Amino acid sequence: MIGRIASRNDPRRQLRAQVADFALARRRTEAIRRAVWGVAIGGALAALVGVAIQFTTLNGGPAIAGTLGVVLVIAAAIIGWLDRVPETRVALEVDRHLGLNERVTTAVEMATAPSEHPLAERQIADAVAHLVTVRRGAVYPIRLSGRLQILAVLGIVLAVLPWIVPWSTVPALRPRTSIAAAASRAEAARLDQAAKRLEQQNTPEDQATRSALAAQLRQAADQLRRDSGNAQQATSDLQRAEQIAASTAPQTGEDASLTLARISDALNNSSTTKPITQALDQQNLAQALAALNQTANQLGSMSPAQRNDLAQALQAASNAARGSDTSAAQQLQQAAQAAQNGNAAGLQQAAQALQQLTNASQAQRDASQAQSEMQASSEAIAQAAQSGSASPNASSDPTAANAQASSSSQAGSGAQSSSDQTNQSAAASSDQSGGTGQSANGGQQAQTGSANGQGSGIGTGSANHLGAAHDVPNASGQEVYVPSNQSGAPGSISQSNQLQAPVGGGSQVDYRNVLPEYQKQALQAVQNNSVPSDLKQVVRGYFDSLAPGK
Amino acid sequence: MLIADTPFTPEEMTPEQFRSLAGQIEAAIGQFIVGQRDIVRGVLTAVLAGGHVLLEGAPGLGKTMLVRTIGEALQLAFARIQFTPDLMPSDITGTTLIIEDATGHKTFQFQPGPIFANLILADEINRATPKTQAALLEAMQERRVTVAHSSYTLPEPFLVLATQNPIEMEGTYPLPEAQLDRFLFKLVVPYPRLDDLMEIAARTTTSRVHTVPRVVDGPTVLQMTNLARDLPVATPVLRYAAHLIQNTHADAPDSSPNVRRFVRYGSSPRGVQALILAAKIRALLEGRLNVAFADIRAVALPALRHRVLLNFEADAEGMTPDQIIEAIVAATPEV
Repeated sequence: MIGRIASRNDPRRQLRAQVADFALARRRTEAIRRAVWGVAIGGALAALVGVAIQFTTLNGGPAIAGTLGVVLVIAAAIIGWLDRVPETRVALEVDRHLGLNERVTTAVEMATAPSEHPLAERQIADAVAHLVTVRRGAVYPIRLSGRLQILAVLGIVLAVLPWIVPWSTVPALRPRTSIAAAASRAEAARLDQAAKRLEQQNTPEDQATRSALAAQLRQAADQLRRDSGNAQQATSDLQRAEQIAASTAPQTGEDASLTLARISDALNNSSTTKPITQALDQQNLAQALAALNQTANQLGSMSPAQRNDLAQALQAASNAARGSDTSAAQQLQQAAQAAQNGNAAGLQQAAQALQQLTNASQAQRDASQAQSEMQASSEAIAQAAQSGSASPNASSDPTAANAQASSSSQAGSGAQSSSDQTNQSAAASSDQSGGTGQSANGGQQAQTGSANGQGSGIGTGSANHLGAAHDVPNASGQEVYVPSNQSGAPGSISQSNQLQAPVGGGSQVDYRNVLPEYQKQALQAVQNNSVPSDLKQVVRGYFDSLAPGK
Repeated sequence: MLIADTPFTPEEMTPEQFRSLAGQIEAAIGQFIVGQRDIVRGVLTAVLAGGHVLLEGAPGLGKTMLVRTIGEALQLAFARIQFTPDLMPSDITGTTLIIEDATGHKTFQFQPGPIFANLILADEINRATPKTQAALLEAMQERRVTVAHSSYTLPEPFLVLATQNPIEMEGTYPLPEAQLDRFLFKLVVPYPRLDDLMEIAARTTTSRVHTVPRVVDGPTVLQMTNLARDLPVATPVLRYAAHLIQNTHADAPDSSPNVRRFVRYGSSPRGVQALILAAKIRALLEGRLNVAFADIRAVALPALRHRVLLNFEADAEGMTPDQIIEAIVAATPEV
């Protein structure tokens, strides 16, 4: 017991205990100080992460930033706590703070080493006596410097800042995700409007198709809203919707509009059916059926030659329809036989065929329009995500014709661009040396064709992509003319199926693969625009002359 | 007769007794020396540290009186040597004489010189020739004198307090560095202030005769010296003192630009000995049982000003050793 008391009163032991207390206080203070530094640095890092998250599609942004900040604070506190310094250093700091003139430092050294100094014990006792009344907080106060306090507050403010700043109101700082999201929302609204316009069209023959396509457009719009901000997902969904829209329209061997054009051409050969041709050229089915009805009424009074003429015309029409719609072709053939036999009732077959093809044509047109709307939206969203600029034309009228195609009245014509917002232009141009035809359409490859001939055709078009218009001249940049065998100008056309090197970096495609598409777009253009009938026939004849084997 | 009022036994000198005796010595000296408290403290520090002192000052500032007063207060055998150009070494150390005893037998007998005293006042030491100055060298360092192949130990304590006049340097022989290095302190005696002048005039122009109180004796001084040597010094303080000495050299890694520019040669290791010994005395006088950084800084100037040799550029720039040392002390960190 006495030994223990003596041990407790041993100045060396007391000194060591006192210094250990100070060391513990130092570690505590250092841990707190470094934790506050952690708040400052963690806040800054969390702010950086927060700003970065605003520009990405990462979920759980606040949690990530907050976790980063907290982890930094805890790590800094642990590092501060684990920062153990030697007793000598603690003693020096104590001496300096308390003005003890190295009493404690000397005493610690005397206490930790075998002392040879006669005064060592007295000196240690002197140091212990000076430390007895000293509070640990006097040397290592939990007090932060003004600068550290300011830094900590600044760190907290910075950490919170990214989540309260209205980034969308700052154009220069608009996050990519909100730009892409804004584009998605705008395109969704546009698709809704397109669906509404589709439903409001007054064409009873394609009512069911229009309703289905409108529903698909609305569904695509809803999907865009759900995919808000995720450009890749939105584009993928729109592509899927396009395929569904394409399959909604009746599938025929060739475009029903083209088939009707061929039928019209075939019926034009007979004077009896010319009224029908005129009505078909004007896309007036009722008038065409009325003319057909009138012809049926007159069948009984026709001469055999007239009936024969009518039958031949109907047979030619049947042949024209055979590659597209076999049932329509069969109906027309039956009508031809009925006409030959003077069977007026049998001519109704022709009316049914015309009705059927007209419906198919309208439905295909509607489906094509819906596909174009979706494709335009897909391109707009992709561009917004890439460039970071919101679509300026989100609410523009998709039916506005932004592209113009100039055509030469003398020789062939270049392709006209369709009247949708993307304004796909198919500028088919060729020159004597066999240049390239380019179509400037976002996402589509440049298509080449070659035509060697004496003449030239003008092929220019313009494509508008969300307001960015640019002209697509032909390869050489000059106007060239390609004669048609139906034009008044002399000349012949020879076509080469051999692929040639594209000019200007375009791609190589066999023209047989691209001709139907060009032909389809051209015929759609002439159908949708006010073009005189004879010029429509010029266009039809031009593409017919380009068909392989002719 | 000792007038110390603190009874003690020679073997048990305590720090408190040390401080008390030192205070009494200072008080006794103060009765005769007006002002100059820093000089008195410095001389006392050096004496208690067992070191020699070089006092530099104009004539009439009380240098000789100070030394004499210290000698009387410490009851030390005092000898005054007036250094002149014709002073011979044997005039300092002593010589052998032929002595005839009563029987008529003649023998050589060593006659000790004035250096055989406890407290030597070497007045105007720079007036003697280097040969004579060298005679003092061995005595100051070795505490012994060799004459005619015989060595004679000097009494303990043995202290040399030398004076030199800084204004009449013509015809003088500046002390060599080796001899300068043997002085613990170099103290510059300042001109007294106005009130000190008045006090001097009042005290010294009367017919009253004052006697110096005797405070301690030689053995007590030795005890005080031994006690001070036993004072512990922490390693950081030792390192600080050594760092200071190192920084007086131009080629030291941490030396300041001024040192590199103006110092020809820095302090020898005797400088760190002087710092520590003097710091111990100061710590005891302050009532502490350990040496502090402040003690080292306080004694740096008197301990080092005569050990740092400046070059001609320093002379041209008017740079003094004191300025160099103050800059070194300010620039050297404690840890």
